Amino acid sequence: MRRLLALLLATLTLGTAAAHAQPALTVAYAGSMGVVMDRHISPTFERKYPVSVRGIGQGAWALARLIAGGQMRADVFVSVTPGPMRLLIEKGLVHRAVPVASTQMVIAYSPKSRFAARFREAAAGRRTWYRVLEEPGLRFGRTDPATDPQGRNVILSFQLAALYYHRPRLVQRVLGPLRNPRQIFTEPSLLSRLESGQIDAVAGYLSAVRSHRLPYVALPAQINLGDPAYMRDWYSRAGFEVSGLHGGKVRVKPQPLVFYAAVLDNASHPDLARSFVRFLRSPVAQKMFRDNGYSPPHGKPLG
Amino acid sequence: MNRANRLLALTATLGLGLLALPFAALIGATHWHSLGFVPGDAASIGISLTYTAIALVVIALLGTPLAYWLARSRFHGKWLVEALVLLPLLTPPLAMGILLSTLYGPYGWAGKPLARLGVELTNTAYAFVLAQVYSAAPYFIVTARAAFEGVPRELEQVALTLGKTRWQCFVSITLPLAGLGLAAAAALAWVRALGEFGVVLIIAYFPQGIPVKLWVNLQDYGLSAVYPLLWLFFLVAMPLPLLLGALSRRSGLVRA
Repeated sequence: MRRLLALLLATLTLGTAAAHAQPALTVAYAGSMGVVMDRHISPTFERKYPVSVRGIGQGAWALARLIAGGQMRADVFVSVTPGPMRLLIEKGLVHRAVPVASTQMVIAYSPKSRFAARFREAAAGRRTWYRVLEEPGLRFGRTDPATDPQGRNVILSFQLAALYYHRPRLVQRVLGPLRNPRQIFTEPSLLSRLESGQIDAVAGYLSAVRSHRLPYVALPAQINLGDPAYMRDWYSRAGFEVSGLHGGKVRVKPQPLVFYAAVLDNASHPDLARSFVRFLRSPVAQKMFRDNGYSPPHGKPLG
Repeated sequence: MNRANRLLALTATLGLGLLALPFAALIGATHWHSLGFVPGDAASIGISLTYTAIALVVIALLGTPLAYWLARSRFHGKWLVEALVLLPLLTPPLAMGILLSTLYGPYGWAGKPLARLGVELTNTAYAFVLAQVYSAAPYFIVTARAAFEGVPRELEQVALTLGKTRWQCFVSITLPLAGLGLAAAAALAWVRALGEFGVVLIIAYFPQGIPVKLWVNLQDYGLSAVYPLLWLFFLVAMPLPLLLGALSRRSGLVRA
C-alpha cells in the first residue's frame, strides 16, 4: 500500500513536472471558434513558440463572467461581439482588445433533412428562405439568448428580416417565444444534432457552419449582422429585452459580429500572450480563419 | 410460473431493456469499420486513469477514518457532521466547481497562498485530483460507513478484552470484515470520479480527462468523434467495479 502510494505520488509529481516543462498559455475563447482554434491556430502557434496552448472554448459571456469574478484565470481572451470584452474592460482586466476576425449569420440546414431540397433551392436564390422555415413540421434549432451571444443574434437577425421583407409576424412564426424550449440547445450539440439529421435547420455563424462543412443559405447583408456599414442606421432598429440581475430588464441591441482578442492584464505569461494575439492577426492565422469560413476583421480596437 | 412471478419477470425485463437501450443505440451509431480517434483521445485516457487513481488513494486515506468514526461514535451534534459529509454530494456539480474555484482559485483565500508555494489549483494536475476528491469522497464515506456498521461490535469488543489495542483490533478484525463493503465504496468512488464533468469543467478543464475531452470532441469534430472515446471510457471504467462485484458475489457464496 505504502509503495503504491509512493508510486502514485511520484507519477503525480512527474506528470506535473512534465506539464511545467513548457509554459502553458491559457486561451479562453468563444465556443463557436473551437474548430479553428483547437485544430489549426493553437497547434501552429505551438510549433512556432516553446509553449503549450490550453484552449478553453465556452459561451463568451460565461467566460467573461468567470474571468471577471476571479474564478478563472486566462492569458488571452477572445470574444465574439464587443459585449463580453467590454465587461472585462470595465472591470479593469483588459486595456485593449483588437479585432481578429468577423463572421455573419446564416441558415444552415441538414443534408439529411426532408426539407434539404427546398433549402438547396433557397440557397440558389430560387425560393424564399423564410418560407421554407415556415413549413409545418420543420424543426428549427438555436442557442439560448440568455447565455449565448449567438442565441441573441438569431433573434435580432429575424427581427431585421421581418422589417426587411415587411413580414411583421416572421419572428413569431419561425422562432415562437424568444426562449422557445423546443428550439434551444447548447451550441456544440446543436450542430451535431443538425449533422445527424435530428434538426432540419439552425441559424448560426457562417464561420462555425463552414468549419463543420455544413450546407447553408446566405442571408442579405441587411439581415446577417456582418456588415458594420449597416450598424448605425439599419441594424440598430432591432432589439429586445432579457431579464437581468435583480429583476431588471436588459435591452439587447445588435453588435457587430467581430471577434476581439485581448491580453489579460494579470496574465501569467504576458509576453507569450502578446505574441499569441499578434499571431492571430498574422497572415498565417488569417488564412486559417479564412479557410474556416471567417471574414477579415472589421472595425476598430476596443478599450 | 405463477402470475406474480410472470409480472416480476416482465417488469424486470422492461427495466433492464430501458437501461440497456441507449447502449444499443450506441452500438448502432458507432462507425465500426473506421473507429476514428482524434488527437488527444489517448492522452485523456491516461490522464483520467492516473489522476483518478491518485484521487482514490486520497479519498481512501481521508475517508476511511471518517467513515469509521461516523459508524462507531455517538456524540452530540453528529447530525451536523453527517450533513457536512452529504453537502458536497447534494451540491450540483457545476456549483461545486464554482465553489472550489472561489476557494482554491487564483484569488481565493486558500488558492492565493498555495499558488505562492507553487501549487496552482486551476487547470493543473492538482486541480484535477482536487475536483475528483470532492466529487467522489462523499459517496465513498457514506458507503464505507455502512460497511463498518455491518461489522458486529461484539467481535471488536472480544478482541479488545483479549488485550489487543484499538488499532490492532481495527486492522485485524474490522478492516477485513468490512473489506468487501469498502471495496464497493472504492468502486463507486472510482466511477464517480472518473465520470465527473461539472466540477472538472470549471476548475480543471486541463489536463483534459475523458469527460471534458468528450465535450471538446462534440464541439470540434461532431458526434462521430464522441462514440469511439466513449467506448474506450467504458473499457477503462468498467473493470474495477465488475471485478469487485464478482469478488463480492464469490465470497458471498463461500459464506453461505
